[in-house]
Amino acid sequence: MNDRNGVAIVVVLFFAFSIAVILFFMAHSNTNLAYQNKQTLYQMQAYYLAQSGMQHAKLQLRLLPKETYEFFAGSGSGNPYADIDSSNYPPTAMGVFSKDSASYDLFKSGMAPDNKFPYGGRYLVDRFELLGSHDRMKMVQDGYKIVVKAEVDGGRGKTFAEELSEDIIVSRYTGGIK
Amino acid sequence: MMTKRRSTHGITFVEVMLAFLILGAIFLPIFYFLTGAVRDTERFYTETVAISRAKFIMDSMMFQIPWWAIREGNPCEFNAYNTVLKKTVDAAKNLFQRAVPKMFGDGCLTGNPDKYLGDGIFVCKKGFKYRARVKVVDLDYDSTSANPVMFSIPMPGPGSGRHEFQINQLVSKRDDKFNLIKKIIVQVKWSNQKNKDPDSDPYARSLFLVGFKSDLEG
Repeated sequence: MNDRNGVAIVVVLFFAFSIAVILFFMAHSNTNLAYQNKQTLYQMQAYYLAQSGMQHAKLQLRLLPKETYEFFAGSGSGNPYADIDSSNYPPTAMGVFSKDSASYDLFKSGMAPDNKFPYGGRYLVDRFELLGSHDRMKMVQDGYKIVVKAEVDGGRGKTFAEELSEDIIVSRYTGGIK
Repeated sequence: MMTKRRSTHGITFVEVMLAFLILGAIFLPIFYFLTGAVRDTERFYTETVAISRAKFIMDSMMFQIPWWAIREGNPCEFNAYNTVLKKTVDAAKNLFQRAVPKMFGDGCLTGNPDKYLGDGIFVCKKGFKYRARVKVVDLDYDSTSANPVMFSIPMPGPGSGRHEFQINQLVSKRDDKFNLIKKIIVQVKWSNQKNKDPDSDPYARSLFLVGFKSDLEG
């Protein structure tokens, strides 16, 4: 008997197996890239929502610096800006991801109504603390720590979250922010 | 009579044919896969360019362009004329001149050097076309008066209630509106076919970014 019978098929099968393994990893890396792009976009969206929440909080602080200080001076505790939550007000309430969101299009008339959003999501002021006050010079200033949280609904039960924290100094009587 | 015995060394014809068959069966999907992989790579490339452009536009709008200079609309308008100061602000005009064409590409010019549109088309180095547009909605007191954004703060002491303020109690009118927050929606739309306008491609893809810009300048 010849002991080299069938060796070609064994070699080819080994070759086929090697190619299959390479292809599997290539396909896997492509799938990963698609997933990462999607992750990047949703995470970026969460970041802009968090920045929106931070601007909203700064706006309120600029408009109501004295009232904010008086809340803490009157031994108020907790978060006086808890009301800053985008889901509390219809103009900013993005809701959850829906079929409407998927068909949103600025380039087609009627597909981007003013009260709709291409995403579901939310921002809120999670913490707001008085760090200290400074009133020995001409300017009376208060320092606050603001922590804002945001989340984006990516559909299919996936959410993407972001948190921002900033220390801010505000002039108590003019609302000037540093 | 002696017969010549056939050599049994080497590989048989059937084995060679089988090997060819198996190789053929392997290479066909490999070629298909490689073609698909090139297509996928371009798809990810276009998506990455679109994400990067959307980020550039949103960053510019949230952090660089003054709140008062962004005017409501789909597409929105960038206007260097400040209606409170009643004059064109040169710094804003220079910023628009440099930044807006980079943000949107062709189509953002209006013919008036003070005004630009938040809309345009641009082509990447590989020849794919992208359209970018920004819609801005003023969340002003009158247009949202049924359910406006309110500003409230609790009064010190338990059970003391809250100070509540409507937008019209906190600011004066600008451009005939009591407004403090603008909703910004950025869309970048592109075709995965080179040199094809996404507007004429039924398979064009899109991505969005949403932000709320508050008036921190007033």
